[in-house]
Amino acid sequence: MRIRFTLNDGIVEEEVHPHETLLDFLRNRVRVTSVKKGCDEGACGTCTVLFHGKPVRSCLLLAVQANGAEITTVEGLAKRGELNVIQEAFLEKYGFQCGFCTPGMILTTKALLDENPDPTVEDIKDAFEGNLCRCTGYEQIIESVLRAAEMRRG
Amino acid sequence: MHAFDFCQPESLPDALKLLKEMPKAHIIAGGTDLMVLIKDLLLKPSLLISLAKLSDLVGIRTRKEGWAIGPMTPLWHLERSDSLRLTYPALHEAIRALAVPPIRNQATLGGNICLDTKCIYYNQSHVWERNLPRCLKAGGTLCHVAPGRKRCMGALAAETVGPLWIYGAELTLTSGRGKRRMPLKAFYRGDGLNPHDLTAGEVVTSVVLPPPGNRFGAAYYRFAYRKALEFSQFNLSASIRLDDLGRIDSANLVVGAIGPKPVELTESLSFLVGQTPSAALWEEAAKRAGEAVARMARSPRLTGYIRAIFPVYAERLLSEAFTRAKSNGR
Repeated sequence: MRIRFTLNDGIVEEEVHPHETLLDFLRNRVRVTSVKKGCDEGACGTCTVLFHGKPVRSCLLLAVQANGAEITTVEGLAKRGELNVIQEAFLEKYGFQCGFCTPGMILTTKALLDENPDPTVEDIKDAFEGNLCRCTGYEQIIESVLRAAEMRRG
Repeated sequence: MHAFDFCQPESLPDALKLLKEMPKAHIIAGGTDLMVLIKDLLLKPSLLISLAKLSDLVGIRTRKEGWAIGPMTPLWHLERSDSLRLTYPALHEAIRALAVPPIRNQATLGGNICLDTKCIYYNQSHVWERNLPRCLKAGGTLCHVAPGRKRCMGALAAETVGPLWIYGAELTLTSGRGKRRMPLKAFYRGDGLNPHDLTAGEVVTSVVLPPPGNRFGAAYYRFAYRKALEFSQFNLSASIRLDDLGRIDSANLVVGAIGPKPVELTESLSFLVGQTPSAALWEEAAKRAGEAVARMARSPRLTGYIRAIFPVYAERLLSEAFTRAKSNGR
């Protein structure tokens, strides 16, 4: 089946198998490797992508379901070699250690702040329920999100 | 992954035709649970028919006779509806408790209504399953949850079902042969092997919620081993309606996830009718509800600690439903 969708600033047009997940397609065929394969059953959130601006599990979506969609991954955040403020905030507040969950965390931050520019710690905890991190204990991630919100507000 | 075909029909008749004609075709709504079943090799469809292009099945239409919610409405949309939160708060609470936000961005109300039962023995990878004799759902002859039973005791853990039940939801099912309407409570058959009254070729095409009416309050709570991304050990939906003198007109408690269909405890609560609400009444009602649930042979999951805390939550929930009924006196 032929699919066409917007990925970050470009267009992807490819032939896919109907049973190919969006996650496998992005990693193996488009070589977008920021999208990680953790549990592959919707539990961990490392495969998060933004689907029309909302975080979803790319392991629970088929590539064919992305036809016509607008998909954002971390590769789409930095512009002209400059990190996005969310990425800057995660660096500043040490919001990661091993980094495996980080692309998902950063995309979840973007979706949260696009909808709610001034989140409380409770709002952040709610929004991040679906993203597991086994290193940080989450405290630095919450601080990173708060810092990113502050930086975005200027 | 097991190979299958995929199609996205542009019209409902086209979808129904494919569903009828193609052997082993399966409807896909949001797919958040279906994909896991397929990956675990518990479901091997030949064709997935996506309803994503059927815009008639998406959205909320508010009418005098109640709300009609399209089954393909994503849960995030319902979660962000302030009027849903104010009109049907128990349903809103259930949606907020369901899985995690990214899953609610994909999952739909109709998908949750048609969610397959969950079982700690059955819903495992095929590697794990090989170590046990086949259970009823896997084509065998026994149930590991309730040994000795000849019926699959998989748990209907769908979070939205209890609230939809106490609000008196009605479903419309459509097939190539026509439509039929039924109360949601009749949709659940009580057999984990085949939990829904959905005949071959049928699709849920509408969910109608009648207006809750005056002096009616409902509340939802679930108990799970963790807050996020876990199916309930049990979930509770309570409702109270008061008469114009402030006495109890009706009370209901629906328990989900303890068996293949929700359990309604109207009978245990019938003594409440006509009484003046008080804290002592909720305590007594919760005690009786807890005893009724404990007696039910069909709730093998409701053991030990869970059985002990059940009345605690039942009491809190009845009290909350009453508070809401009282403030809803318009």
